[in-house]
Amino acid sequence: MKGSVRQSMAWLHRWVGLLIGWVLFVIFTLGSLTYFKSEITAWMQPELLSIPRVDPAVAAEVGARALTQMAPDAERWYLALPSERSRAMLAYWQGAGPQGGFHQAWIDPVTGGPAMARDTLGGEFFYQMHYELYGLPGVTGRIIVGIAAMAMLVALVSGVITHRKIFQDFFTLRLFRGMRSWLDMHNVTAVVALPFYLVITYTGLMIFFYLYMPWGIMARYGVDAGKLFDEIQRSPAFMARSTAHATNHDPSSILLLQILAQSGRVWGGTGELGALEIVRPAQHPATVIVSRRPHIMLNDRMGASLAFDAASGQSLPNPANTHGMAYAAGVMYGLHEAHFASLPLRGLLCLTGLLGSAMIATGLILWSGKRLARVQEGVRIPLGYRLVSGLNVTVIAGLPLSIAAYLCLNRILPLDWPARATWEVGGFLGVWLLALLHAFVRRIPQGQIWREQVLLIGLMCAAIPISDVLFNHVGWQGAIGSGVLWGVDGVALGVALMIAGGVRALARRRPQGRVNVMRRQKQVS
Amino acid sequence: MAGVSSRERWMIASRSLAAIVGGYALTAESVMWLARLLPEPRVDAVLLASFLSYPLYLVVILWAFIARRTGWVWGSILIPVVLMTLARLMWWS
Repeated sequence: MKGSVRQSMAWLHRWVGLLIGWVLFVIFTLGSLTYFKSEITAWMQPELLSIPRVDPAVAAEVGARALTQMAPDAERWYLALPSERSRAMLAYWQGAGPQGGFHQAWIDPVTGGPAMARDTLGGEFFYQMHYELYGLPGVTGRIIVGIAAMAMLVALVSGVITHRKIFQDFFTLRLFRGMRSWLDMHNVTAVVALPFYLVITYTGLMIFFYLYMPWGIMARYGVDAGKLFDEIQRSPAFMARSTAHATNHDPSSILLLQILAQSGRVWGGTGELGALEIVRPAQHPATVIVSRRPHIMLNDRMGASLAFDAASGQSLPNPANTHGMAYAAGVMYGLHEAHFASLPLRGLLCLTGLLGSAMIATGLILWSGKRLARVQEGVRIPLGYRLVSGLNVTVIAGLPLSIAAYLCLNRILPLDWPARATWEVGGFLGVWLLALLHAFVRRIPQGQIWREQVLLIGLMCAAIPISDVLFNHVGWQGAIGSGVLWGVDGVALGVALMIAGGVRALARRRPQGRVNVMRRQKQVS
Repeated sequence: MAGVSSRERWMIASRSLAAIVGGYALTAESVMWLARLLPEPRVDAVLLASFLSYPLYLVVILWAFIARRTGWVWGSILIPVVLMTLARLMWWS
């Protein structure tokens, strides 16, 4: 390109950022919320909060008994045991045969029956929106997200090259100075968490490498691509053992108690048990794999797990492939999903992710603001500018508004409402569509549109704790002791108060500014 | 952008195509070669090759907009792609 490297990188940064910024804002914001996926789901299903805490080993037995009834001839059972993040346990199973389909159910660890809660997608909706733009057919959403992530890498690196005084400018923040302030905010939010953005974007791309970059798999595995995942997860010694010849047997004869107790002894208490997997429960030899809860392991998928022969209770070789790159792949998952992180650390990660949203938002606002400054007064505002600034409001203000509306709807819709979960999602999309209409149809100055939508976010956030109190439907017994209700309501209230404070400060600042000018004039005269 | 000549417009379109499609082809070929050539067990070789693919794609994309002449961009991407593809077809299938 003509001009210096820095000029061409600045050009690339501007245009890549503009083209992909809106999708990236959605991915970053909803990804940040996904650090609290279980907590959001728990808030949206308050019925389950009154389930008492159950020791994971006791729950494992209850779950195995429930699965014996529900899916006796399954290829494998998987139980995510109760934890401090979720009182109910999630059971997955794969139907008979290696090609069997996957099913899932929430199980009450006390009764062994299905955990009865309102129909909702909970935090799962934000999560699916984050990685595959919920609702798009097949892998389309994942591919769009992948393109956005690759563009994010391009924008990050070209942005760093563009930025001459990256360290100096980090200590520069000029507020209330128009476009200069937006640029300072863009720089500060970018530099303060640059390593986080790079790692989260790169690991996100790595998670779906089999979809985005399948060429290595095709070169080495050909049509056997499915084997790759077994080889990533399982050690060769373990795989050699588990393909032995099989005969039928009764799943209830599995020596589960002994196996759970032994795992508890290894890890210092049965409270450490995180998940239970039983491979071919109705066959001999069946295998039991017990995994530790992920709180100490960066490697998300193959940290500490123990394997046992189901019939004899004897220890088997380490099931996890801890070899080089296979282990590193697990670390990639761990870094991205942060299941290892404690609640405060996940809070920090969530804030860092939202800082990324702020970086993207300020970049988008800079783009349209700089162009508006070039449009002379009296000239018709160009279509491109109107499109960009309208979409900016729709995405940056409209998305938080829809998130808040989604949470409110969970409380306001009656419990027996047909297709309730679909209505919640529909409400989310409907509010977003209204935000779009508002941004494009209202013939008022751009700043006014922003103020109205931000004010609406504040009101909608305030409505979250109010609707929780008014329409909780299940009462507060049992739930009141849980931090989840206080946490979500408190954060919503906090956001509402911050917006109220911001709106007041802005309203007070403007007349004051005029007063100052007048005072200065007086002093001069 | 106002004031961009149609010549510049074509240059930008051409470089974008080289970056996105050409860069992806170059990355894909390199991943196939790396996955074969790395001496690790196949699962590790495939993972390592895939780990390296994104930084490689990134560098090619940036190069497509840094290089002084559009012809160099295309040449530096297409020649290795063609060579790697031909060699792969000759020796591996």
